[in-house]
Amino acid sequence: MELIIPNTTEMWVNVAAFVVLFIVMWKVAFPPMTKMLDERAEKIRDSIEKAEETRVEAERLLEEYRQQMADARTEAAKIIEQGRTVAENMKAEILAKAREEAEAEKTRTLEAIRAEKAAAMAELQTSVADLSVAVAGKIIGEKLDPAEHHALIERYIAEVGSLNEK
Amino acid sequence: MQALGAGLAFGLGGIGAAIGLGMVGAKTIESMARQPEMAGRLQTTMFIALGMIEALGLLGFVLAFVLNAG
Amino acid sequence: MSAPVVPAAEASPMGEKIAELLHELSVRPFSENAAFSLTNYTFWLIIAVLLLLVFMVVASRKAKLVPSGIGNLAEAGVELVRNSICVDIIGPEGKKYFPFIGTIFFFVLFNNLLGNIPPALPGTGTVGTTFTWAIIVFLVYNGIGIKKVGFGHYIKSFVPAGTPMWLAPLIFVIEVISHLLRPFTLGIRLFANMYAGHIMLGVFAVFVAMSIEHFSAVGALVVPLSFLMQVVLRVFELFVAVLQAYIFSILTAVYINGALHTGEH
Repeated sequence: MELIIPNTTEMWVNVAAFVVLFIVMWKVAFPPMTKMLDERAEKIRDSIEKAEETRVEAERLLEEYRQQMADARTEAAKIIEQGRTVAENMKAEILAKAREEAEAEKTRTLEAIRAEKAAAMAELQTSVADLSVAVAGKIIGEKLDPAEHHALIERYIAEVGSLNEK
Repeated sequence: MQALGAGLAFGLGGIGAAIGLGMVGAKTIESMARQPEMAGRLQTTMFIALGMIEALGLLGFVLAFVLNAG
Repeated sequence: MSAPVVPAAEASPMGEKIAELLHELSVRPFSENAAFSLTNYTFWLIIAVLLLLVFMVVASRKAKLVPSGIGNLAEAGVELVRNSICVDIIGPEGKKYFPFIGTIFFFVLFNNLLGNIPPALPGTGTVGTTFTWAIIVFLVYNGIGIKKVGFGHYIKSFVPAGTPMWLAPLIFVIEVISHLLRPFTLGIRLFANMYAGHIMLGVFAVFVAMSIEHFSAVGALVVPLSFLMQVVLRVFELFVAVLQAYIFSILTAVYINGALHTGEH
């Protein structure tokens, strides 16, 4: 039973130990340590807040720059688009003009060719007529009179013409 | 007779403490398996419960010595 | 003073050795019949208290923003007590009760740990110590409650509001008994843990001593096993030392918290 009945001498020693320890810890030992713990917590909290602020700022700036880049890009695309339409228009114009000119040139050339052909035909007509008269006179002798002679010429020219038109 | 009493005191107290501690341990392991992110907190609580239950078991142990001496 | 705790002398050598062990671990004053003599436990208690004082004063000198060496250890302990015991249990105003709870924690911790080193005994391994501190805790937490709400109101708070008149005395008695049991269980828990630890260590040492004295085949097996068990037990005792200090402090905080919030069931 003595095991669980406290010894009175021990009790006094313990009370004294408690008083001494409590006073020393309360006044001397704990204040610097608790102050240091509080300061450190405060400092860490401040650092975290400041880091948070800086991060928010950085994100805002990033967003701004990104926006600017996007704007610049759309601007550039628009300019390119404009340039392209202008170039296309010009190309169409030039092509049309060139085609027109080519057409005009062609018709002119065709006209020239026709005129030349007509002139050549007329010349050919007179020379063929003269040559045929001369040959006919030579072949026939002198039996040709001017009326038959014209009928022969007409008939001959018609045949040459039809040959020519082939 | 006192020796018998002492033996019974310690024995029965030991049974109670062991069953209680076993249940606490088992429940803690189960809870840790269900929710691993709470493991630290659960471990701390388990130790507190361990200390308190074990005290009752040790009460029996001490009682055995008290009875033996008196 | 009190007679040492010794069972009736046994004829068996084991019984004798156990009796010797129990005699060693009992409270033995250095001088009989003196009202204020040191006992074997108190001797080691004073040594532990001196160590604690030196440790604390040295550590508090080293409190810088980034501590080094001993300061580190002390700060870890202080932070543990302050944050996870005071603030978690009592709330933001718990910091003001930190000196008291911190003193308790470090006192119990140092005494328990010192008891693990072989010739030393734990100062808390005797009911004189543990009951004294438990009574101090009891007085302090009741004092806090009384200071907060006044004596009459505090006593009235034992009976929760809204109980019928015929039940009130019974509940009052039960509450008073439960309050009176608190220092008892607090003291017994700490004492039993420390005392039982030492007895277990002693019993295994007795096994080894017996096996060496009376050589036999079984003895050759017992010696290494008991030795191993002793090693394991010593490690376990370290853990129990820290745990018991933690539990004592947490229960103190819980009682203070209950006193601060009297009548708010």
